[in-house]
Order: sequence, then structure tokens, then C-alpha cells
Amino acid sequence: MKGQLSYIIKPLALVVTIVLLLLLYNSISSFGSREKIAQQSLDTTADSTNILLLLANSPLCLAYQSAETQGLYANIVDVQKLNYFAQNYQNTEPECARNFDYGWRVTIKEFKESNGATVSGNSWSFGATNFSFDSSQNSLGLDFSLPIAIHYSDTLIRPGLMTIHLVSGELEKISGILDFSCQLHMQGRLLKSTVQIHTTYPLIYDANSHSLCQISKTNSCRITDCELDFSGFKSPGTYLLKISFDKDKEVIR
Amino acid sequence: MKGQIFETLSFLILAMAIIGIIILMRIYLIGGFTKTFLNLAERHTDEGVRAGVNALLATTEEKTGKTQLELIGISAFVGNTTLNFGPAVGNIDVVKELTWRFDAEFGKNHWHINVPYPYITPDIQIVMVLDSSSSMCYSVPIISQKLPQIVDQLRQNGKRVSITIYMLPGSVKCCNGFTLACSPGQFPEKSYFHCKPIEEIQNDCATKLPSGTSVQTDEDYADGLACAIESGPAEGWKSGSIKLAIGSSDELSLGSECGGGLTCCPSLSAYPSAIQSGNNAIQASIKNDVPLYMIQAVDYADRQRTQCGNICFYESENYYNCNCNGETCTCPLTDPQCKCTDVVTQFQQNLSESTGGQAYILNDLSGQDIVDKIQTIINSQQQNRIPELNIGAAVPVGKNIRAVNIPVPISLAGMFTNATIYEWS
Repeated sequence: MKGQLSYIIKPLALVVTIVLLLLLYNSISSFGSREKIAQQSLDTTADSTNILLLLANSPLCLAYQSAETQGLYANIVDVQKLNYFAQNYQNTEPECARNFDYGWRVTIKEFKESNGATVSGNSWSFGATNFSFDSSQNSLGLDFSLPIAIHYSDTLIRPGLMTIHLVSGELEKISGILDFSCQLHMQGRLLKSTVQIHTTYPLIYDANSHSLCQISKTNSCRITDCELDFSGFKSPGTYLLKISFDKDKEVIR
Repeated sequence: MKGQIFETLSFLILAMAIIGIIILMRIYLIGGFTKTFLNLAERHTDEGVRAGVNALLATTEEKTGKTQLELIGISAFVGNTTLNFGPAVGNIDVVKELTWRFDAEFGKNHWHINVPYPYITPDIQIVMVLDSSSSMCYSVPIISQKLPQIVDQLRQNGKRVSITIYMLPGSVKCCNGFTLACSPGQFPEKSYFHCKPIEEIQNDCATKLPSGTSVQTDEDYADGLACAIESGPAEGWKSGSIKLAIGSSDELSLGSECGGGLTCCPSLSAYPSAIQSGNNAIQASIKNDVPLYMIQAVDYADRQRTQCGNICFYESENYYNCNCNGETCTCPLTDPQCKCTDVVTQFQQNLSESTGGQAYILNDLSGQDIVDKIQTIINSQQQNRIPELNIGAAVPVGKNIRAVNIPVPISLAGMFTNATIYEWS
């Protein structure tokens, strides 16, 4: 009887132990993936805040700088710079706040008061117009806002809200790699490099519009900084890009 | 049997240890990471709120061109959230200006602003209009002697008093050596004490008065008060100061003579010009929120015995009812001065009571009486200050509140206060 009990209990205990160890493994791995998701979310939030603060506070971007004192004022943007950005960066991010991991578009809305009610005044928008979709064709990215003041003159400064739509998708990352390489080449710091990329959709380069496009139900295109010599990828997958330069043309094989 | 029990127990302990590790990981490691993540995310949101508050306070009110921070500073200085920027701009409601901006940026009922207003001793600005007709040869020299002393004493006691006397036209030379006009020897000029002939501001105030008329005679003190209120003191009316106008005369505005004769009419209705002049003063007073205080000057040598006095002034021509010797005239103050005392009192009380001021009657020429009257007027001035700016929804309990502190310069007083802005999702 004693021996029979031992035969039953030992395998049972072994099974229970294995189940528990599996649970422990699952718990550790889920913790890791949650940490990764949270880290990405935190990075995106931090980057969106940083881009907004950079746009609002850098004199190279939108910050108002007094002609007399050369002083800068926190989050007061110059309406002339706003007009310039809205006119000249209709489809791409301005260099002053370019981020090679993300694509973004910023919208600025002005508030006014009329008969005791708050009404919208002028609005401006600039940055990328197309963004990546995920494998299920869902829109990616987050929207984050920062209150600002819009400087028309020293006696006319109106309140406004600057909202960024920030996307970190495949198209933004691939385009970011190519643009970053282009920038380094322009500065004479890069001759060639090799990078691994992954694309869920076919990838083509439209030479007419200088755009790199992901082909899906809804095409997404981003204008590249350098003109590309790139035949594209007809099928999804992971590819090794060999980047070199022919004069100022970025050659990708 | 013992061995099997121990074997089973050891498996149980092992199982419990693994379960314990899993629970601990979930509670501490994941919980700790989530907390760190939330803290970092919160810091970014805090940064956004701080930046937003700074930006909002830098926006300007469109009529004045002043930033919200400047408006709060002025509001703290005057102790009122309704600020008057003169006839061209009018009133600006600081609460309304801040509310629509913060509602637009943070949403209704998602913010609260608190700014304690320090107690600031207000400026007391006085314009004074003096009748300069010969019957004032009793009272004006006393005012000239005592008023600068009173102002000096009040300023030494911490009252920020300034006074501008506007003397009506006339320049009568009294036999006591005093000339009823502004001169440094009679009214010492200081940064806070001025005496000016009313002619200096007549053109300016004539354009501001609805009647379009300015001061007509040496006794037209009601129009003089209207003019002085519209033009303001020498330094101009200051925002947030206590403003008042004091008039002094022994007669009705434009004189107490009835029908052109040296007699006194029994009632005020017989003096339509005085009534019109008085209405001009009342309108200017109410429009500019400057109450009228009246000091009825002395005509009696002994008021209790109703003994009217005489007045002596330099005059080469003969005056009716006066004793003139080709150089000076000595005139009794019986008609119309003493006989009109009640009508004058009624007229001056009406001016004061219609505008929130007070009328006083000088009892004697001792000098102490006028000191008492003017000190009473100045000491009775109180400013209704609000202790703090407190706007927006009440700060909720149990929510994640973000608070930003911004120093607010009160440049008019050379000091700072602190604005605390609360925001919640």
C-alpha cells in the first residue's frame, strides 16, 4: 500500500511542479513583454512632448524671439514662423524638429473670445501627411497636445493649442534610416552602410514625388531627404539594405 | 509512511515557493515598473501643464494689450478684479479673461487659480476747488496755512495722500495780505501738493463735460468740481487709487445773489444756474466714481450769536453796501452770505449726498476746525479690497491634481505675489 501511494504521489507532484514552473516562465515572459510595451509607450509620450517643446521653444523652429532683446519666451510662438512652416512643410517634418524614429504632423489651433463664448480662430498645420498602418490596416500613433501662445505683436498674443499626431511605424522607421544616412552623407560622415529592415507591405520608390511608399489598401508615402536609386521590395519580409551614395543620390541594393 | 509524508511536504513547499515568487513578481516588480512608468508619464504631463500655464498667462487682452500676468498684477494692486482703463478702453474683467482662456485649454471644471492679494496701502488722490471771491478772505488763508501741514502729517502716518488745489479765477487781494490765488508763498509746491489756477484745465475739461461749458465765475465751484474731476489731479488719476473731490465756498455755485441783487432767495429752486452747475458736478462725480465732499466756508464772525463778519479787500472802486476808501473796501457779510447759509447748506448737502460724499460746515476760524474736517474726510476713506483671486472649479478630492506656481509681479507696488494654478483630468 505504501509503495502504491508513492507511485501515485510522485508523478502527480512532478506534474504540479512542471505546471507551476510553466506558470513562472509565462509570468516572467509576460512581464518582459508588458515592460517592452510600456517602455515604447513611455518613449513615444516622451518624444511627443520633446518634439512639441522643441517646436515651441527653439528659435530655429517656431519660438518667438524679440528683435530688440533677442530674448525667447516659454511656449510663445511667432505667427510669421507659423505661416512659413505651414506653407513650406505641408508634407514633411521641418528639419529643426526632425525625429528619425517617428513621423508626425502638427496642428495648431487658435482660440478667441466672441460674445462670452470661446471660438476657434486661425489654424495651421505642417508635417507628414501619410503614416504607416499596422498589419490589420489600423491607424497607429498617439495624439498629444501642448497649450501655447501665438505672438502677433507685443500687444496681441492669443492662446492656442498645438497638437501632434506621432506615429512610429515601419514606413517611418525605414524612411528615418534612409534620411538619417542621407543627412550623415551630406555632412561627409557616411559613405556606405548596411541596415536590416522589416516591411509588412511591399515597398516602392516614386521618383517623381521623391517618395518612399508602402503599398497596401491605403498607400502611405513619405518624401525622402535624398533622391533614391531603389527598385523596391515587391513582397513583405525582412531585408538587408546596402546603402551607398552616387554623388548625392542614395543607392539602395 | 513518514518518508512519503516528508516527500509530499517537500513538493508542497516547492510549489508554494514558486507560487510565492510569481505573486511577489506581480506585486513588486510589475507594480514597481508600472509606478515608475506612471511617474515618468506624469512628469511629462506636468511639463505640458506648466508650459501651458506660462503660455496662457503670456497671452494679451486685446483692448489693452496687457498680458494676463500683468492684469493679475494690476488686479492685486487695486484689490479688485474689475479694472478700469479709462474712457477709451473701459472696464476689463480679469476673471472673465482668465476663465475663457483656461476653459479653452484645460476644459471647463478642470482648473482652479488662487492668487493671494497682499494688502497695499492705496493712493488717496484729492482734487480741491476753492471759491476765490472776496468773501473767502476768511477761509482760504486758513486752508492755505493748515492744508499742507495736514497732508504732511497724514503722509508721515503712512497715508499716501496727494492733493491738487484748483483755484477759481479772481485773484482778490485780501487786506490780511493774502491773495486768493496760487503762489508758492501761499501754497508750497511739492510732489504731492499742487495749486493750479483752474484756467489751466478749462479747455481740456470743457471738451469732456457734456454741457460743453467750463467754469464761468470766481464762485462757480460746482462746474469747477466737474472740471477738476474730468481733468484729474496734476499727476492724473491713478488706477486703483481712492479718489475724492473737495469743494469749499460760502455761497451757492455762481453766487447766492438772488435776481442779480444782493439779497437771498428763500429756496434753492430760485437759482436755476446753480442747480445746473450742481448737476454738472454730480454727473462728473458719478461717471468717474469720485465722491464730492463739501466744506461750507465761514461768513460769521460768531456763528453761535449769528453775528455776521466783515471782509476787507483791496479795491479802488466803490462797492455797493461797502465802506471803500479808494484803496480798500470793507464789506459786511450779511447779504447775501449769512442770510443764505441754509440754502447753501442744502445745496452742498445735495451735492455730497448724491455722490456718496459728505458735507461739512466750518464753525469757526480757529484753524483746528478745518484740520478736523479734512482729517475726518481722509480718514473715512476705505478701499474695498478683495483678499485673493479665487476662480475656477473647486479642487476635487481623490483626483490626481497637478499644481503650478507662478510668481506674479505687482509692478505698481514693486512687489510679487504667487499664483497657484491647479489642473486635473
